Amino acid sequence: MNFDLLKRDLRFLLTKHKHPIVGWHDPNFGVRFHDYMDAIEDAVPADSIDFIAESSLSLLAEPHVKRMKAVGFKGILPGIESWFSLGDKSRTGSRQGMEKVRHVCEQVNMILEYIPYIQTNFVLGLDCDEGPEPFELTKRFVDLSPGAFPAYSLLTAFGQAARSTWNISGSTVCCRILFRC
Amino acid sequence: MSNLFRSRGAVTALGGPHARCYPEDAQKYFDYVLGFTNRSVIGDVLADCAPHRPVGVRIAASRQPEELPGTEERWKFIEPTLRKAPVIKIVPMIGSLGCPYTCSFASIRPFRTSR
Repeated sequence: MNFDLLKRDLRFLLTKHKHPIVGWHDPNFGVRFHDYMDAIEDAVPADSIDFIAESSLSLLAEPHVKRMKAVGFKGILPGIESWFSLGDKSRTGSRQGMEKVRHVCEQVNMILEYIPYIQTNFVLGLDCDEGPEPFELTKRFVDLSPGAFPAYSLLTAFGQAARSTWNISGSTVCCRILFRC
Repeated sequence: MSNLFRSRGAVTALGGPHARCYPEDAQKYFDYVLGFTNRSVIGDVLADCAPHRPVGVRIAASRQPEELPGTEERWKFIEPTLRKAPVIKIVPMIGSLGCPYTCSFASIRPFRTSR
């Protein structure tokens, strides 16, 4: 998107609301982190707008989170997805199970020092999650990071939207998140 | 909804997730089913603007639009929507488009593939 337009829009919002709240609808806010932060910092005074965004834990290292606090971020919604998979998204690599819980908790608690609201998103029903252990690990996660709000997403079909990633012809079982519960 | 409006003479179009994920299904109920949509696609629909039944027409741009109308341009729609929000009024903005669907839960290989 056009950064000049983004800046104009943020300035415009301050003419309409004293202290607006902006929800970023990017699939993953901050992929071009410094470009966005530069644009926001250039457009409006620090902390004059409250921002909320969905972003990956892999982008939420402490220097980034500090900068987000400074510009006015009040809520962040990272995807953990599973305690047994998708480690790239949560910057936990090959860690699994309780080891991943501890690692994520450390990061989530760090984020909470800067940003007051964090909703941690999980996907319900992945093949890698079986039996009661995923839920037991989430309970441990809540114990260790009581400030976080876990949200479970149900699966629905992606259909043709994910066709570029299909590897098996004739199948229609691509899935994605539909509901947050 | 589409049936209701079509029964009253309207021509209907559907875009968004269902149109992109399941266009064959959407074609049963809408005259136009839109995938990636840009000004050119909207122009084509408005120029034609005719009933297509029983199977609707699928139209799509080759990629996501590179720019969308900004908040100021959309304010006439955003403001009345915010007025309806009882307490927390969140202005929607977007800086980037195009989820690549590369997470394993969105791609077919690591998910349940047997049918």
